[in-house]
Amino acid sequence: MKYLKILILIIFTTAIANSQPIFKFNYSVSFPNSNLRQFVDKTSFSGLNLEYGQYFSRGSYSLGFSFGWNMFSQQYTGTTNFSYQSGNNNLNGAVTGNQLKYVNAIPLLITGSYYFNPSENSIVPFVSFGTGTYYIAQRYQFGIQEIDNDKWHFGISSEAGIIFKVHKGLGLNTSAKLNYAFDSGNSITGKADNDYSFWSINVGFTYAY
Amino acid sequence: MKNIIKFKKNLFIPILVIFVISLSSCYNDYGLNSTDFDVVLTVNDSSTNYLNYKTFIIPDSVVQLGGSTISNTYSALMLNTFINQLKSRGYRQIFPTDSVRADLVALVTVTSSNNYVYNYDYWGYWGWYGWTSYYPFGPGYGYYPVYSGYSFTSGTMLMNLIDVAKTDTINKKVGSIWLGAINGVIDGNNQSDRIINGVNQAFTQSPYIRTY
Repeated sequence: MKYLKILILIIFTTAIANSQPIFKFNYSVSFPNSNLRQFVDKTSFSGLNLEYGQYFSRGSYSLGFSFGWNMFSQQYTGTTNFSYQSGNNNLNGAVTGNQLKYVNAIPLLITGSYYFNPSENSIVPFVSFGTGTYYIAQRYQFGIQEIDNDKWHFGISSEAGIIFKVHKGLGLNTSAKLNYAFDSGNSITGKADNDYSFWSINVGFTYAY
Repeated sequence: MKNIIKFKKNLFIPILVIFVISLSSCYNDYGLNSTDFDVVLTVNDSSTNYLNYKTFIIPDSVVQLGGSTISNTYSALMLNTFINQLKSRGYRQIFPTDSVRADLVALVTVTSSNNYVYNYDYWGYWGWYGWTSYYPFGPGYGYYPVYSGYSFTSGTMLMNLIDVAKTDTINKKVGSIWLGAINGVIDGNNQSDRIINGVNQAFTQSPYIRTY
């Protein structure tokens, strides 16, 4: 075990010595899935994603950190009907007012990316996988009443995209990314099933120092 | 210079993390103003046949709870809007000087603090109006079934329809068959419009309140 640790350290150190920083910045449009879609079913046009890592040119891969932000929001102004039991009485009701629903999703991930033939081509496909944590801030507002439900979730992501080289070290990129945050505690409605999932279309630039 | 660059690079990731996490506080405000936060709630007893009722009686004052104050102008507006809606649904207004008893008692209340409206005291109110002999309920009577522990926050206008025949003098309960609550209309701008719109919306949500 001791020698395994030393070996990993040597490999890592050698890799670092042959690496260069890489930076990605993307504007993100996101589409809610599953439980998130049941709460807010509108597309999010408020999102960004930043990645900072080390690019290992000999292996055509990079390791680093990914940070993102996607805000989903929806306003509903109609009437909601409800019914409930009070003792021996069946009661019906209706409520009208501005309902505002928000989800802020903040992925904080360790990511690894692989680039296909980066030296030969001006168009470089890539795939990325990430794992880490998602901070999900969920809010429901009705009139002047407001309920917040903020949780940390373990999560994973996968991404596939293309980088278009425009200059030495600089490229424009576009990609599709799937984010998935596993269950953590209860949702704002008290359900134990509160995983979150959303697709993102990203456009931005990549810069390798 | 090299130390400054290295210092900035070392801070890059922590600053980035703090920046991104701070974005979790971003919310779209949708350009709402105070009137957009008004809420209209109605609750009714599903076993009640509202067609059985033909007449109503209503006090000429609004009951004010929790130290709330409302001007006579707005009190009159609340009462008149409520009366007009009931009349438009076919109900006939009865007065204390009439020789017949009304089927329903219509009440308007305003609150200025958090209240669990389950049981409140009409003593001073009923005594002044002289209704304790006309209606068999007075101080300390609570409500059933539609109230059931609702909490109404400050600035709420409450409308209540009470079936006199369902009064339980032993357990001191009056039979509330309908509740309309308009949250947020006691304060702010355009109170007249908000009161009228709120009462009208409460009846729009309650198509079963009619005599035909």
